[in-house]
Amino acid sequence: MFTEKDPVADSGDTKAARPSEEPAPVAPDGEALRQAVEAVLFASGEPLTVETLAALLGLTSSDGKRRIEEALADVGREFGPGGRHGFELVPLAGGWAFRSSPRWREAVGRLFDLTEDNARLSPAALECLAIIAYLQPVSRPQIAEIRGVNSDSAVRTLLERELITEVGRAGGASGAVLYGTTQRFEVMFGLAGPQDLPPLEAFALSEEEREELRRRLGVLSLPE
Amino acid sequence: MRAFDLDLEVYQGPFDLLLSLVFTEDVDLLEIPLFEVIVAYLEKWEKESGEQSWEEITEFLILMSALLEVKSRLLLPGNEAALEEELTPEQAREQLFGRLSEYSKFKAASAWLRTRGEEVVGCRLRAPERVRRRRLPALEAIAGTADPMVLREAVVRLLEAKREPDTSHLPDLKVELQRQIRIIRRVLARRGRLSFERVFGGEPPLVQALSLFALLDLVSRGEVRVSQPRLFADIDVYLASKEV
Repeated sequence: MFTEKDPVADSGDTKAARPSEEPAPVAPDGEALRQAVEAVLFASGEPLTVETLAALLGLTSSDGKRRIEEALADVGREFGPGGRHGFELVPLAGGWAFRSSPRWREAVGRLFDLTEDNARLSPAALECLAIIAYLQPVSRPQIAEIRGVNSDSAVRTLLERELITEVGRAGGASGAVLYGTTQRFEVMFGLAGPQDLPPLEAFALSEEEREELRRRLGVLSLPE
Repeated sequence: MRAFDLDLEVYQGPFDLLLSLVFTEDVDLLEIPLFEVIVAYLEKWEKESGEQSWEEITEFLILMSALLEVKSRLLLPGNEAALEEELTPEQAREQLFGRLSEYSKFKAASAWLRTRGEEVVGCRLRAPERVRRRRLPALEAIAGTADPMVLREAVVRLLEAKREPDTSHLPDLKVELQRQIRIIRRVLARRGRLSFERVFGGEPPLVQALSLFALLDLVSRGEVRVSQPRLFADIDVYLASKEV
């Protein structure tokens, strides 16, 4: 369900979102629009984009997106993170969604069986996921080159968990499969999108750590 | 060299046998964690209180160095020419430093993802129909209860858990063995031979799998013959009657 970027186009659950099939008869406005946005987001099981919301609510005019964004900002003022409610409106996986507040994760965890989604990924799988998230589209040989070990098994696990998907093939003779992250990945890690990841350079070694690494390599190297 | 046993994820058995399996390419060297092999050797050496001869240790060192070099080359596809040029120790050190620096960024990023995932683990989207409810309440909550509503709740949860899974997200893929057999026959009738990769390489995995079964079926009937230069390479399929 989370592998496609556009929930409207592919989700069987959101068939009402297809504007060609069931256009909203009258586009709501003002307070009604705000309530309609709330209702749709509340009922949806996955993040909805501004475009999807506009299509759902029959806002097909050129300023439809702007009006949805205003309504979202209005809803966000009441249901934004850290507010007085137990759930919150957050930008997630390229869209917007209501989710339970992290403050109450233990209580929610007692209600639902969370083992499937949150079974811990191995360190190898997480390293591969980080490489794919930052370098996408990226091939298995590129991943192996960075990690220094064969990473096929870890990539397979990520594919099975629908955290990554094939996004194309490399040009040239190799034609290697290229991988990218999915919407499910963004939901699982609470990211608004790939741009929500911290810059890779933020994880670079500090000057002291670089010196230490140089020193260790110097010690390990053969005498000249 | 005296034998010693290994207990790795991909291989359990004597070191000597592993070596021959690597040389005959029955075991992929890339799958062998050489670090663990070295640790196993050192543990054995410690246990024997350093009884091994220097010749033995030297032999092991040379062997492992060679394996490390081969593995390094395997990990750098397309760079064979560059590797042929001898690097000075200084250049090799600098190259290794660069790779480790780059790798460390992704390692740190994976730690960030781990923390981030743990922070949002209980933040649920409102999608109750896709989230399994706990099948039963905690035993201590119902043990000895006489309250029919508590028992009702337990039964309801159990029944809810038995609902058919939602498969609406699965693509409606239609593929039949007989149809794949017909396709292979048709292509072969026209061209006499076919490349499995070229005909089915672009299909979804399920179609590829069924096509392979179809191919095996035709092979067992003696209609076609197949050849494959090496494992996982393209399969060349040709009519048995056209065999030369």
